[in-house]
Amino acid sequence: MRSLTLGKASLRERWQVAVLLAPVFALLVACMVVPLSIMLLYSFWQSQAFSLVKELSVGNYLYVLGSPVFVGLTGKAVLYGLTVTAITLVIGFPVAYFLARRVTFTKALWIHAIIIPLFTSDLIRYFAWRTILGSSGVLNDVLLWSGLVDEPVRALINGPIAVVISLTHVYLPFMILALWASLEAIDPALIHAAMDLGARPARVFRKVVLPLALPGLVAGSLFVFVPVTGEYFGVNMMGGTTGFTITNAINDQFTSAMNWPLGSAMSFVLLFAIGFVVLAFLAGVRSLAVLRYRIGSG
Amino acid sequence: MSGRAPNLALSLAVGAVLVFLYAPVAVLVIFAFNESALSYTWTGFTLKWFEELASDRILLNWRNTILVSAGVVATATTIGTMAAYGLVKHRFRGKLAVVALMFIPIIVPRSILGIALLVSLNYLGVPRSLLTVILGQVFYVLPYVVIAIVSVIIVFDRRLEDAAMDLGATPWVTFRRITLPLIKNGIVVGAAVAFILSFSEFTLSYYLAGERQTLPIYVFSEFKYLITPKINALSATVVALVIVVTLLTEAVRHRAAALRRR
Repeated sequence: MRSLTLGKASLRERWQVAVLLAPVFALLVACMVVPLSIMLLYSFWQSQAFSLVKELSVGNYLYVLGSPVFVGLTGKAVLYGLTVTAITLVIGFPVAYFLARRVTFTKALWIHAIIIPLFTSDLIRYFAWRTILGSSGVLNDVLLWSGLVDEPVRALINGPIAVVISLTHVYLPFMILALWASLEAIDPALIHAAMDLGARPARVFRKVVLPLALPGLVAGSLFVFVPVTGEYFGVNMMGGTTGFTITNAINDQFTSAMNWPLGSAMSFVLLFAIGFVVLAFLAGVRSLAVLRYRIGSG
Repeated sequence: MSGRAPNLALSLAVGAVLVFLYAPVAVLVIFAFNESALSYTWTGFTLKWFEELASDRILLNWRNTILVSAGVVATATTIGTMAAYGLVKHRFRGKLAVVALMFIPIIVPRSILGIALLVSLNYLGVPRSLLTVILGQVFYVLPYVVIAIVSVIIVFDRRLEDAAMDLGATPWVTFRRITLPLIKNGIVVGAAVAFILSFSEFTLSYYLAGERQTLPIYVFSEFKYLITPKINALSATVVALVIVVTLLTEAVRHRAAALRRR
C-alpha cells in the first residue's frame, strides 16, 4: 500500500510536512531575510553628523570601494579565509583519512575527540592561545629554555600569525568532520580494485580517493572559509594592530563611530566578496571535475 | 596505501593534530590551579581562583547565561525536533532544497548576522534583551540541533505509527505513546547540542544582549587585555561542564543503539 502512495504525497501528509517545517522557515525569514533586507536598506542611507538621512544613494558603497584602506582590509579578511581553509585542508585530511580508514571499533571515541574541542567556547580557545603565544607565554618559555632563541619572540602574539594559528585551531574540527563524512562513504572495494590493477598508492589517492572525497572537501572548505573570513572576535583578540580586518572596521561603525549606514555597506561588500570567492571556488571545482571526467573517458 | 612507513607517518600526523587541538585547552586548565597570579610559571597547586570565582559578580552573568541557554534549548529542541521528524518521516519533493536552506545559518558569518539583527531590531523599535539573544541563538544552533536529532532518529520505523493508527489510536495518542518514546533519545541529544552551543555562544550575544550581559560577554570585556588565573578557573569549569554533557549525551545515544539492536 505504502509504495503506491510514495510518488505523490497525500494532501494530509503534505499538510503535516508544512506544519512541521513552518517554524524553521519562519525563523529563517525573521532572522535572515528580514534583517539582511533592512541592513541593505540602511546601506543606501547616509549618516551625517550622527543623524540618519533617509535618502537612497550609493554613496557609502562608492566610499568603501574607493578607499584603499577598506578594500585592503576586505582583501585581508578573504586572505585569512583562504589561508586557514588551505591549512585546515592539508592537516585535516590525514586525520579524516585515519578516522575513515584505520579506525574501526574505537570510531565513536575518535569522533568525540574531534568534536569536544568544537564544543569548547571559541572565546576560551582564543584565551588559551593568548597564554601560549604571549611574550611570557608557554611557547616562548619552551623556546627560551631550549636555547632556540635568546629573547621572547614577540611576533607570535598580536599579529597575523596569531590570527591564523588560533583560527586554524577553532575551525579545524569542521574541516575534519566534513572530510571524514565523505571519506567514510567511499567503498573500500574501489581502492582495492585500483591497487589490484597495479596502481601505486599515490596514484590511487589521486585518481580514486581524492575525486570521491570532493563533496566533503567542498563542504569543509565552505564551513571554514565563510566564518573565518567573517570572523570578528578571533581577529580582534589575536590580531593586535597589524592583524585586524574589515570586521573590526565594521564593528567600529556600529559602536564608536556610530555610522550604521556605512557599516551596513561594508558588511555587504564583505558578503559579496565572500559570495564571489565561494562561487569562483565552486565553479573551479566543477570545471576540474568535468575536465577529469573528459580526460578519464577520452 | 599499505606498508609501514606511510602508516607511521599517518599516525604521527594524527598525533600532532590531536596535540594541536588539545594542548591550548590543557594549558589553560592546568594553569587554573596555579598559585602564581602574574606569570605562567608554575609555583604551586591552589584552588583559590575557583573560590574567588564563586564570590564574584560574575554570578549575575551566570544567571543570564543559564536563562538564555534554557530558552534556547527549549525553543530550538522543539522546532528542531519538528523539522527533523518531518524530514525523516516524510518523503516529499524538494527535500534537498529544504535541507540546503536549513544549513544557511552555518555559512553566514555570525558577526554579520549579529549586526544585521541589531540593525533590524533598532529599525523595528524592538528593545534588545535576553529574548533577542535567545532568538538569534536559536537560529544559529538550529542546523546543528537538526543534524544531531536526525542522526539518532534516522532509523525511525513509521510502520509502528501506522499500526497504532490502524488499531484505532487517535493522532495525539499515537504521538504520545508511540512516536515520542521512539524519538526521545534524539530529542535529548539535540537538546544537549543546543545547550553546549548556546552556553558558549558569544558573537551574537555581544550584539543582541543590550545591557543584559551574558557570561561570555563579561569574560570578553573583563579579560581582553589582562589575563588572570580567574579566567583559567572559569574556562576549566566550562570545559568540565562541556565534557560531562557530551559524555552523558553519548551514554544516551549508546543506550538508544543498544535498544535498537534488541
